[in-house]
Amino acid sequence: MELVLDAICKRFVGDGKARPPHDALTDVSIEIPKGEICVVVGPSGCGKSTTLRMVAGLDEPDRGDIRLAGESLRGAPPQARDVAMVFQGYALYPHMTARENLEFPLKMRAVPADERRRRVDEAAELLGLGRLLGRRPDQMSGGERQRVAMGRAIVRKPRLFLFDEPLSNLDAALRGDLRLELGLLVRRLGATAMYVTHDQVEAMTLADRVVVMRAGRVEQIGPPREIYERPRTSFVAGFLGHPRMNLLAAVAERGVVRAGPFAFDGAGARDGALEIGVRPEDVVIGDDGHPLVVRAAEPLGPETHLVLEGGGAVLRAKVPGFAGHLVGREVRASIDPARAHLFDPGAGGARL
Amino acid sequence: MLGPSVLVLATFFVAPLALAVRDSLTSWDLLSPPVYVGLANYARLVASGELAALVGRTLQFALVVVSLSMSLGLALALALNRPGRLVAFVRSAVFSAYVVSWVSVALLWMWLLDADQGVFAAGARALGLGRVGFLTDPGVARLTLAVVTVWKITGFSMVVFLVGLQDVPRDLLEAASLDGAGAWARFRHVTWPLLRPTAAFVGTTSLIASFQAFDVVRVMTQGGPVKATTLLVYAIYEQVFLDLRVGRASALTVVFFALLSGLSMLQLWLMRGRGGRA
Repeated sequence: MELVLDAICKRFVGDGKARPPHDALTDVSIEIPKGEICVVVGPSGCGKSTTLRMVAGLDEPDRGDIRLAGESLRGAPPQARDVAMVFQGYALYPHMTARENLEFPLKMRAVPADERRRRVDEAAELLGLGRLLGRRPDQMSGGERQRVAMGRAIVRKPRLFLFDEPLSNLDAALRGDLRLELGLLVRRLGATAMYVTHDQVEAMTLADRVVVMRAGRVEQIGPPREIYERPRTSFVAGFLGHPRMNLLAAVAERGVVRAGPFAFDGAGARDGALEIGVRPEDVVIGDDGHPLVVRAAEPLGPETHLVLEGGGAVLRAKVPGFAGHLVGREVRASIDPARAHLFDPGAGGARL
Repeated sequence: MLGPSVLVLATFFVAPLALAVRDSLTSWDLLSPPVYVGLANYARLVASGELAALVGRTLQFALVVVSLSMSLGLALALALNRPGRLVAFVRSAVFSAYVVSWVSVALLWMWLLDADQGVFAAGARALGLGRVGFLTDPGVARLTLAVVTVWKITGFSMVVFLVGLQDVPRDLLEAASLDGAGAWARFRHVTWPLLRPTAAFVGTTSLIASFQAFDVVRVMTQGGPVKATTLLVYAIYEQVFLDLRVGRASALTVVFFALLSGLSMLQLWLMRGRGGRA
């Protein structure tokens, strides 16, 4: 394993009334093999940025160990770690040109001037920064700054890349382009990377492995497809996927699961309350099923998202093409029991 | 829209300066009517060597005050730029000297620096330096007044530097440490370049403060010993109120104004200009 986070714990002391003391991280363990991109996702405040900052050396864990290439990073200051980071706000030095920004990490590591020049030119070529090299950050657009920030991380050829929500300050179109570019670049460099984001699209598209965090704990680690198809908790199920997975209160009784208007064979489910999860694309609109009223429709072009209501349940569904005309009408919907996820209705929401 | 500010500028700045220029071309003792004498006042000041001596003393004094108060203020700001009650207390304590009136400060220091009973004299004796006339030795008195001035105004430069430090984004310093910069390199390559405009402001205000030194001279040394602490503003006061030579005093005022504005512009240009549009 290239990077190992071994049972990291961190408690924030807080500062009086505004922020009471709380556990920021509890037993966070993550392993990243060499050359993999690991994307850490979760809602804000879940501890994902704190985790990243600990790998960078900007925060120290209270307990647990972080090992890079087998060596413990405990107590090592950021400048002694072979780690580069791309910040959310880019963190470019405002008084330096793009070239000086790219050169800075090399200068700090006493790389000779001609070697510096060569490596900066190489990185600039890779990222298409040529004409920007003489400009200062305030003379560049957001996307250009982001590219320079990337360049500053790659010139050093570090063992590990850290990304702290690098695309979240960009507008949607640019974010999509840069996401693709960033993924290709990191793969091309064969780099090991830890990438923190709250954007599930980035998690699904960039990751070899996704770590879903909630309230300072790891909820699930796995490849994107596994996380999507077999979420371990109702929280993970609701976090990934757009629109969110429908989570309906349900009751199992003698092998039959009832949720709102739906009832299906739930062989194996123990009797009692549970929660069932159905992805919007797994709600089948057709000739049979239960009558539900279409309360709202969001036609997106290739597909339309519907909000259906009936029998005491509200659920979202996806249908192909434009279907705005369905608003206010009644449709028949059913759920494929094979594609329903069953969860414990308690706070943990474990998969059953 | 510009009206009020032009009026204020004219009343408190342009008019007094114009009057000073006019009076500097006369011989006037405040009792009999002024007599036009052309540039005689300036010629006299230059020929007697008085002007050169005054300007020399004032510049020397200003150099000590500006360099010490700036570097000390910056050092204190860097050391005290962190949360904590004790730190907050130290910050207010340092700043409090700036708020106290000049006369109280001067009297306090006269007592501390008394050649026979003062704490500092006792310290000097204990170190085997013998009797040091902090305020009575012509070679030491000017430096003493400069240090007292530094003691008083450093709190202000510290506060301004603290504000400047708040504007240095934390993620820049974090990025620099990940880029391999240690504490000194982070200061040199990130903090200091971003503090330049602040430093220009602090430098200019403390230059002006040091040029305006009057109370400290008036209370502690009255310009002595042997004129060692007769700085520009005190000399102007002497000429008007002790020697009744308004023309000569006005000539000094005009020189004072020209010198101070020239130096301020030079300083702003040096501090701002080299850093680009900082």
